[in-house]
Amino acid sequence: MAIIQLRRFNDEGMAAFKDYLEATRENERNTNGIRVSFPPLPYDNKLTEILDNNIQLDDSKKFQDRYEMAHYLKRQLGSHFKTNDNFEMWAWIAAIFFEQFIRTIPVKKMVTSRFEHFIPFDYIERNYPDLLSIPRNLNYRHCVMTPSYLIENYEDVWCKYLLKDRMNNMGDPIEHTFSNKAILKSKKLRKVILELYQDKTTFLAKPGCYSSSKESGKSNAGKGGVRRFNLIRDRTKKSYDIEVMDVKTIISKMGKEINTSKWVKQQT
Amino acid sequence: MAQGNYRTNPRSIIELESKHILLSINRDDTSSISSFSFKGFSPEISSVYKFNAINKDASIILEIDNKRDIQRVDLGTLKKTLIREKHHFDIEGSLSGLSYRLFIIQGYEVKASCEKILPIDIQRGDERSLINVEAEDLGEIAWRIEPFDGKSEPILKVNSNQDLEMKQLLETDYGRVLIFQNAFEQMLRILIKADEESEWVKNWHVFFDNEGIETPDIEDDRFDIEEWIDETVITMSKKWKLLTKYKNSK
Repeated sequence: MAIIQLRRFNDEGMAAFKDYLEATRENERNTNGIRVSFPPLPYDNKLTEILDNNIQLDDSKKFQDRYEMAHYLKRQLGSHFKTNDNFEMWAWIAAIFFEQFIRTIPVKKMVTSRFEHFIPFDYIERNYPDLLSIPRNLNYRHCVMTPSYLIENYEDVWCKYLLKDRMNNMGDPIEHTFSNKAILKSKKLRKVILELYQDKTTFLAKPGCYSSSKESGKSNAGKGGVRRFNLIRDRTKKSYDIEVMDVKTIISKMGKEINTSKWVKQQT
Repeated sequence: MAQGNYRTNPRSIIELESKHILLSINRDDTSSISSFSFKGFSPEISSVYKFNAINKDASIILEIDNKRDIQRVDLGTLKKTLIREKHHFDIEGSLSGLSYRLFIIQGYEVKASCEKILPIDIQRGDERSLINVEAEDLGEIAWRIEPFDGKSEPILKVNSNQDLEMKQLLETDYGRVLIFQNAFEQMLRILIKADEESEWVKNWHVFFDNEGIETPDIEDDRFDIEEWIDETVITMSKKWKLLTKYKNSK
């Protein structure tokens, strides 16, 4: 395959994709990561329908990261580049690039991520509510829709921070960002996070900044890191309105934990 | 052991109380929260120590938080306060269990704040009721008390499925006897571990005072939590007579 017209799954296609994801994960769980081979679902005329004759995608294209993929889709999709809409199209796009999202190293014995990484969570919630075990919305985990949403709505340097990791890894920055929308709503908070935790060369999160902090001992792991950021931010907000402050001043007022951490020291 | 001297409130931020802030919530036909209104400050605020010393150009900001999202609302300045009538919520996720924070800033420094406002609930009259009830999609769960960590005010959440008519059920003697007594007991368990300084806990302490119930003191070794909960539930059940009312209504 190479150049193909833009399609979307029909209801049977969505069901087949869901069934495949469940089947391969079950197999991987029992075999320490051996997949069920992915059937050609996105090319099956019974499971899909053409969405737009004039729009073509190159399904042989290999992307460096989700940032590159999102920009490619933005160029190609035209008026169809609308996120949180047309879930059958986003699931179909996830399916045509499916192999690129498979982990090389199993996590909990599995190399295929959960269904919400490929089929938008909102679609699952509407059509297969029995599958859901987590009470919060996980739409943001979608491997294609969320990168597209981000590049459409947020500053380039922030998108690079979230999306320049490997194609097969959603990454901690996205999980952390979407767990509390305060960061997505505040350009100022995004700038503080980038200032502290972004490697200015790779655009990615600095190694170790998402480590959990240790309750005891002399370890500095997690100190002043992203997992502590919301707590420290809330504490700072009791004394200062960070929305009207510049980034350097915010950091200087965030207290000893941040200011003596390696995330500040690394900047100088 | 390392020792140090620490000062609480080192920046001398003026603490405001809910009663100083005229914030109310409005509900729609299904009793779900739909909007909020801000009508300025109560006259009592001028008696708050040092409040009048704040520059009148200081800005007033309201923040509404549901732990998933946050909404920031500009309320003008002390000199020219912006009144908000039925202002819409711009917050993703559930509108039950919202927390409201108001602060007054000069430059970027907070000069006064109320960290947890208990808004007036118009549809229930200005009662600042002890147990707030809100409808929410709870799936297969009929009702529950949430959150239960004591960090913010627990809410009695009832299933919003309209076929169940849970809100209407709570207004009947049958519903009250089935749900309210147990909800009350759960609230007491949460209250025991909550911050005594938070507004919702202070509300309960006023209630205990009015009812002649001993205020819980968990730092006292002699205080028996289970016994206190048991006695409080029995005392209030005798007063409310929910079971008798239900029997008589049949």
